[in-house]
Amino acid sequence: MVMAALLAGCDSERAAALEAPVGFVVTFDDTEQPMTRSDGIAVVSWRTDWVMSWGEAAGAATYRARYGTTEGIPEQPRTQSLDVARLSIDAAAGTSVPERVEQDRAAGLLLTSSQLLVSVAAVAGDGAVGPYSAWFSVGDVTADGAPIPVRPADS
Amino acid sequence: MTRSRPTTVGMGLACTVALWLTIVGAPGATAEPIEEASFVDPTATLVTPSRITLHDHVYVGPFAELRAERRSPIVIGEESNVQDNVRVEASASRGLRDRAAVSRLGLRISDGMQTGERVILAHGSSVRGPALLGVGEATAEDSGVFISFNAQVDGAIIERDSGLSALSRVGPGVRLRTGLIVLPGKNVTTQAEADDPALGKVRPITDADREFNAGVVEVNVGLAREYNRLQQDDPTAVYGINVDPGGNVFDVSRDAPTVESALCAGPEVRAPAFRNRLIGDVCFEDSLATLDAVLGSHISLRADEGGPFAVGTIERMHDHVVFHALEGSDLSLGNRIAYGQRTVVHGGGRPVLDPTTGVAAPTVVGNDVVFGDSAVAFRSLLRNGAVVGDRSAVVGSDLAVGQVIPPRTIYLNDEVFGPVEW
Repeated sequence: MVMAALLAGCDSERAAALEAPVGFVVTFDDTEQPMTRSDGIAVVSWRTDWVMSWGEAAGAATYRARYGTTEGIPEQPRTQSLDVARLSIDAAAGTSVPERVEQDRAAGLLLTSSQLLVSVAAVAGDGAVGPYSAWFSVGDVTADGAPIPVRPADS
Repeated sequence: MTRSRPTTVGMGLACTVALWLTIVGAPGATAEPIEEASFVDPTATLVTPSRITLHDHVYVGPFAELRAERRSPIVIGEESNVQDNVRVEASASRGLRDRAAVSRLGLRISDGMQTGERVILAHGSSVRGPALLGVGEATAEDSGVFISFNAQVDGAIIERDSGLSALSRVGPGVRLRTGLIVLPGKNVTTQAEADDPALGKVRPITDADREFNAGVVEVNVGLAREYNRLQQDDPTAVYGINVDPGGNVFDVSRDAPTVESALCAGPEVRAPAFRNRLIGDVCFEDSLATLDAVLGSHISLRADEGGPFAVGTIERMHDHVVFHALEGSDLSLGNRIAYGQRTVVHGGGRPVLDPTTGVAAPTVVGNDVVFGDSAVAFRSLLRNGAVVGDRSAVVGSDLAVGQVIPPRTIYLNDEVFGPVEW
């Protein structure tokens, strides 16, 4: 028990040396495939990935994303390991007539951002996890290309 | 569907006939630890409870209705949840044509309404049986099923890893297949509409949908655990106007609503005998006597993921209204607001930055706003005098002073997305 406590203490010291990621930038990765419906009408099958990247954190070997929701943050959120300072998630998809693709894509991203939140942390080579970033809405972006935090980093 | 084997125990539910409900893991009644127990809010209505089975980790929210019949059971699968004001009828009445469609799908009266694991019935949604939700082998990767606000499943089969968006419907005789989500407001009445995204009623599920569903399941499993703990600590605390259970990441403490100040400066109130469920850090401008006069019944204003909700004077709040929000995504409601039946107001940081806080701007509803019946508002700014028509939804939008959203309209991103087709 004492050893476990000591080890836990070491972990938290290593984690303390890591900093929360900063410098977030959001881009969108769109794919489109023209199709023809059975009644002859042209449509586009589309899909959009929301891609969030950030500056390399000192001491980080990898990164970890954790997910929350607008219905609440789970006590033990699901996590995802990331090899690089970048998270890409399939955030909206649909099939639309060509003139509706942009509106439907924006609506799809809005609905996703109304649901899913993400926060990321640096992970040291020995597995220690640093402090997490703010929670961001997946799917949102500001006019200058940043994600929108819905709540600050955990205190 | 994959299910654990249930055990039968007695459970004293305030609003049920004295029969037996089959519930896996009722705390205190079996050796099952509280972490695995299901929770049924005492205001939930369970008709023919001997024909209702709840598996482990199920949360049943305030004023949910589970109406089983002797020949038509209701089974709620493990880690599923039935949120505020959800209506489930194991066997609903319908016309000859619809009955034939349901029968052709292979559904029988004796199927009742059954869900697999991780099926989410969100605020105000409804299921008219016979219906099966979450059909198929459950795997760690699939997301279960999500039925969003005020959506309806009517005599249909919903396969795993699929869902319905807000105010959408899947009609009799239709099977919604794995990998597809019904778009907001759409009414899917044919198999072709359900199968072909090119017809404009469904879209493919995304990884973001799957992560969201998994998160919602975890949150509601946590609510079942913490409400059970609250009930164990103080059996009266799960009734009427009372504290939230606390114990979650962002809402550790147990807070009670306050009255006489929307700024939360008024006295704290606990009133277990009150007919509605007003839970947690909700701050009312009205006095308790005024709330008693202006509120209908079956109302669930639930700040159990945090708060505070600031609620100005209420002109009239009809039955079955639901408020819910995540802590930090403040919900602020102005004065003299009229809320129609089954209105759902959900807080959430809007998709714009608040320059003073550096985080998403809060959901704000101005003075003299009117919500029609079954209206939904989410992550939006509704300025003074705005009107949201019956069965309309406003999401991620900024309504002008006096702006009217007509009935049966989905309004997203400040533009009309489409009609509500039913």
